[in-house]
Amino acid sequence: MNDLLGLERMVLFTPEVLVDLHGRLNGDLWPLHVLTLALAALLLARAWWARPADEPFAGCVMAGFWLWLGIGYFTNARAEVDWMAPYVAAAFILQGALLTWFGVVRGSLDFTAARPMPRGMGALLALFAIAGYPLLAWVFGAETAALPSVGLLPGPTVLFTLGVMLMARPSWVLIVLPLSWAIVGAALGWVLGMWADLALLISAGAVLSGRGYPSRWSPDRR
Amino acid sequence: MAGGLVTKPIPNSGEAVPVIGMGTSRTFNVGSSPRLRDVRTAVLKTFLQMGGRLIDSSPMYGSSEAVIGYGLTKLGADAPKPFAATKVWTPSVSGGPEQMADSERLWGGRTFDLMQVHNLVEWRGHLETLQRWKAEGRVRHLGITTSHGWRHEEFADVMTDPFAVPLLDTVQFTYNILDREAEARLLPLAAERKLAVIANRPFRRGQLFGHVAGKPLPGWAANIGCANWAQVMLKFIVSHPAVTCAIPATTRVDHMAQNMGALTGPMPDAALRRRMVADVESL
Repeated sequence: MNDLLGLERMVLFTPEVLVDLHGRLNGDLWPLHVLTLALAALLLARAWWARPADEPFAGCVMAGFWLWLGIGYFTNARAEVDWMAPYVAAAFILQGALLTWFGVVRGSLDFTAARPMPRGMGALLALFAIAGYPLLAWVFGAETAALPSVGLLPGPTVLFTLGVMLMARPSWVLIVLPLSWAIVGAALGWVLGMWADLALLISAGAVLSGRGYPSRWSPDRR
Repeated sequence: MAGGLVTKPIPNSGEAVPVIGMGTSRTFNVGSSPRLRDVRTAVLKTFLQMGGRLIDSSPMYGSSEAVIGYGLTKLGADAPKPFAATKVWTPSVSGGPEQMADSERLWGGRTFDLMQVHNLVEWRGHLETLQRWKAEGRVRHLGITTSHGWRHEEFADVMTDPFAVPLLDTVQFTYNILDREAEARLLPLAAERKLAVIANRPFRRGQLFGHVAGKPLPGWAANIGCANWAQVMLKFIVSHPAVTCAIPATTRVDHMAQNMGALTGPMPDAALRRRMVADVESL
């Protein structure tokens, strides 16, 4: 178990280094956190109450988050300590492109399609990403300066995206990469002893079970 | 022994190295953080001041080489000169010289005492390049590495390959008190071929301390001058006749000081080594 997925051999940095990196990044980016949190909260509120059938705003916000993580976080910041970062960056940039195409251009984020159960699970997951995950990280000993914030660091952003995906019920194409990172991120959390990241695994389970529900418009509703 | 410090020679050159070196995988990969770079510089300073010389790194270890270079520069010319060992780690043979030149720059413009082919990646092509570099005086010793008990059969094949044999000075693989697969083939082969052995993962990335946590040191530890489990584990490794040095890695000055304690005092004989294994395995 200590060499989960062979990651022990590949993770060549310590939790201390990641915390330091996140702390320095948070310092450099402040007060951008206010904007990303506001955008995430607005997206969630619109998805819950307005329930638009074609929501380019959600696609736009999430594409921005994923592109930032691919280019700004993994390529520019994390790559200095993580030799895998450039490869992960490519996946995050691809997800950003997919969100732009399907979420903004094609308008395939439909917040009317999900049934109440997965919709509620998705909203809870997104809310957890915004507020609960940073709190959990703090409880597990993360320094305040290094607390993860949605839109700026991968953990909460992936959780938030998976929550929104449960609410919007898009094609699997938009879910595969966040789901994959949720599993890899949880394994990394295990290897590094960053226990808050195990929430990613729970979110992956929630998405797989929630996505198993048929759409509100599927034939069994008749 | 030199000045009370236990050293062993690299058979091909006769150059003696202290039996406790320093690994940098994970521990020195701190990126550009000024605070953490200074902490690692203090670790490096302790290592050199307490008689350590061999520092092992790799381009795979992220910013480790840059952090070593930062530390060595900060310690200045008065600091003891390290035995600089790194690796070439690229699947592109033609990219090897560029990567090694980059390592030289990161370490502060240093000629490497040892260049190793990391994890046997394109070992034949890289050794051809390194043969030229050695002839030109750009590197002094050549080696190959593996870790985690990976590919021991292939590793042994390289150690006996007619092309590689005359080129190799050192081999590096995992050996510690609980991971002793190397005793079956690689260590005897290294002794037979007169190759220096660098033992990596001496604490199994710290997991061995979990194995002995809360357990008192056995009575025999004092007989070999060990004041803590780190020294017991290191003396077990370097007392193997075929092992030249072990390369523990740490982020802390106090742990470095503990590790370097294994560089002095008596070493266990064969009988005690057997008892050490039995006692540690029974914990």
